[in-house]
Amino acid sequence: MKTFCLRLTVVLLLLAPPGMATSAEKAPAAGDLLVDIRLDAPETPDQRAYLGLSEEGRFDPRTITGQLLVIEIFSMYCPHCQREAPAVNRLYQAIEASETLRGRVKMIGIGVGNSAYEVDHFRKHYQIAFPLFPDEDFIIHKSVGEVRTPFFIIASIGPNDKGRVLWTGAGTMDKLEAFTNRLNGFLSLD
Amino acid sequence: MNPSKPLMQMMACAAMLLAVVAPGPCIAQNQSITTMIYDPGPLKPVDSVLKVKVGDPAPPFSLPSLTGEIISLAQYRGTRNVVISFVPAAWTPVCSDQWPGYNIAGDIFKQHDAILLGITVDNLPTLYAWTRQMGGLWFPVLSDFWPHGGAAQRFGVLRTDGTAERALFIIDKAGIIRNIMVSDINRRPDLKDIVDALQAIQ
Repeated sequence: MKTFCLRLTVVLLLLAPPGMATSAEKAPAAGDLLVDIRLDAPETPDQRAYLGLSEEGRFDPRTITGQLLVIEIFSMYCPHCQREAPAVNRLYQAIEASETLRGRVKMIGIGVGNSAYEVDHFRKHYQIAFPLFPDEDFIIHKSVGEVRTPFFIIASIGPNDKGRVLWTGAGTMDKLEAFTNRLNGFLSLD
Repeated sequence: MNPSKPLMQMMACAAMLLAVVAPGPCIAQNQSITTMIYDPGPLKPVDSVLKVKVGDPAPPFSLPSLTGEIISLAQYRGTRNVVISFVPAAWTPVCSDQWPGYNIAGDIFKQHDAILLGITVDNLPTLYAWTRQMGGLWFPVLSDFWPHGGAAQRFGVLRTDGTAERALFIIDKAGIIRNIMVSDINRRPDLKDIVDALQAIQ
């Protein structure tokens, strides 16, 4: 019975239209599908290559190449996001330095209420290497339930389970090893 | 005047702060902020009439700062451009993240030979506690508490409930107002607008 319920849940989640997977007022949680959002492709070829995007224009984050996507919902103006920025950078560096994670885990940040200029300022100030995107009018923020920042989402973007949220967390980052262990754990299940 | 209006406004701002920048459940050290939340809904975007315009000499003021110094606008005459950031009140949401944002933009002000002065109508003890929980600020924070909102009044940005507008004034080294931005109180002005205004007076 338990297995049946689990399968039914997975089937229902997979059948749900992307935009309906989570309500506009609900924060994403494990088991949800990522809400249907579009981002402008980065201007730099390096960052487009990192995400596996062949050209400029709008893209769906679920089409990023890899198996797992880590999304940080942040704001340049949020002092907690400022304090966490070095830890988030260390996570990205650890992923890129890991033979098991590099290429399979991608990271992006979405700056809620931030203009392109403000996101770029945050990137430069903290020397952030992974792609950041502005959400100047809080459109994405509203679609993810206006979560407090920083907010972290790990979602599956592999071909078998595209866009399923595996884990979410708010506030201070876990210890680096705990976060990378979590990523390795999700990859081993894939 | 309804005496509860300023309180309602501050609580509304606090609710917005919680929604956007307040810590999640993993950040224990700031949980106390969540006990101050109340949401009366959106506030009137602008509730005052400017008394100055671009090209006017900036009205003089001398106000107490958190460091104990009295800061006068005149002390920067001939040496620094001045960006004045009026925000409505301490412990309000948009205000509570606007200045922390400027905390990582100090290099922008330095590049444009400018000092930032943050002003609210709160008293010094309130400003002390508020800015401490932000982790401290690099720029002077001034209290326009008494006579209440006197400086804000001279610029024409004192709202009818005794708080200030969310307003920016860019003043050049000659003491002339070169740019005025009075924002919707519910929204934070774009940092780029300040940068563009500073670049325009170089």
